Amino acid sequence: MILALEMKKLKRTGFLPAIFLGSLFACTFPPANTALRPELFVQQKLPATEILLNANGQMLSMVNLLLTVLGACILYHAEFSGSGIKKMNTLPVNQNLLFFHKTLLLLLGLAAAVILESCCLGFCAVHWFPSEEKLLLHLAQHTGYTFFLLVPAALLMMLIALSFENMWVTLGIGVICVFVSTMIPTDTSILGYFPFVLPFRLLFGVQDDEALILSLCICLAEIWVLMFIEILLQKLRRKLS
Amino acid sequence: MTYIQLVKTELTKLRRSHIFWILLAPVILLWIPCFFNADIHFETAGISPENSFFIQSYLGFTWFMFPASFVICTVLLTQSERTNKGLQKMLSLPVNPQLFCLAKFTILLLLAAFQLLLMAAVYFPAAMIVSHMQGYSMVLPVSLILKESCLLYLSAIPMAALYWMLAVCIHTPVFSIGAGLASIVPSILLINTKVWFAYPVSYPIYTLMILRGTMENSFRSFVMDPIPWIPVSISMTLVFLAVSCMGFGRYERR
Repeated sequence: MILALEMKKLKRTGFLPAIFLGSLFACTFPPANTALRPELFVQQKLPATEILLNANGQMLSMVNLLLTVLGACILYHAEFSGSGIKKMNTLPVNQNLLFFHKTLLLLLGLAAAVILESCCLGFCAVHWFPSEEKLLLHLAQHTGYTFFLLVPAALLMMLIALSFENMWVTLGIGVICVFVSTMIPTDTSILGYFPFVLPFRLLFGVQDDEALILSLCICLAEIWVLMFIEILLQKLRRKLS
Repeated sequence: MTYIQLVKTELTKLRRSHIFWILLAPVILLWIPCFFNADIHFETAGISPENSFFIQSYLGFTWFMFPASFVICTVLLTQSERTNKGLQKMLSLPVNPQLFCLAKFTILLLLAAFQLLLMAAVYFPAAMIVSHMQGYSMVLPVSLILKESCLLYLSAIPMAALYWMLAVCIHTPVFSIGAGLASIVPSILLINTKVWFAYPVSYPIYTLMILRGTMENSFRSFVMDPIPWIPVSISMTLVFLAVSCMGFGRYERR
């Protein structure tokens, strides 16, 4: 029931067209990049998905992160702008459930964006690398990995959005986080696993299976920790107010 | 109300926002990686370490955080009016809306100047610490930093007008923020094309690239021809400002 209500709210904020337009914007990069200088890419002896991701992966991760920041800002701005959250508090609605449903909607939007981007990569691969095997498998692996690594960033961003009433503070912190993570290389030991740095990891950039499993485990651990922090934060909030 | 009074009112509104910390945080966070990998500046060929240190740090700041700060500030300026219908109240007073719009734009420019000043102010201690760590003077003369900051600031004015227009004319916040953030991403690609002067977001980074061209031997030299650039940028700024003045408060007056 809450999910349906949240969907209704979301429809009026322009979230869905923003996600769609944002991912369409991201989708213009790989074809444009490959069409402008095909000779640079076609000769490489690598799987097509890997060549395309080496050239455009960072840009796609950046757009996905910016979409996460934007989505989280708007999801909670809809509550805070007309003191809607106070009204929600008076209803028999679990605040944690509200948070997780909002996060679920953000994740669904991001999943749509990631799938659309993968379709675009697939189109580029078919168009410029016709004799490619295992394309579907590679693309599916890439899509799953990219989406899973986005989950901690989305959760953290939703936590930030929950904590600050003013949208510019949320947006500011989100943008600063994205900015800082563009400066941290993904192979640094501890900082490389910060939720906002994780999406810059690319499936084919990971050296071996061990590193891959490690990144997945850390990602899962971060998801649990962030969910736990959310429950604590809500408890603290109720005590303070 | 006169223009000066309007700007003063806006400054009072700003005092209670947390914008200062949001402007300060990236400027400080930017320098932390520099302490850990300061030695990479000694390995780059064709450019002296102190120049490399300055260019790399400022490039990181200019390409993403500087435009993004403008987007955050425009959100601050528009949203602080929209909560509790502040703009409706302001428009019911004997205030010229166009002048009010320009006063808000001035605040945006002031915030940008403030952030550049912070950036320059943090540069010197950071450079001194790195010099101390490496035993090599990384500090560039004050005049150069001030000159470059002024150039960056001047070249950012058309960009500020563009973002202000986006924030005023697109009433749904998700679209104005989205358009602002999305416009940052292609700037790094566009500076390598011939039509860079048609895209105001790429001006500051282009300014910095010119300095890099003079400092680094092997780097392609960027030239700024004043003829298409200055008329185009000035006319674009004026158009953006005119459009934002016309669109200001239109939604509230309906």
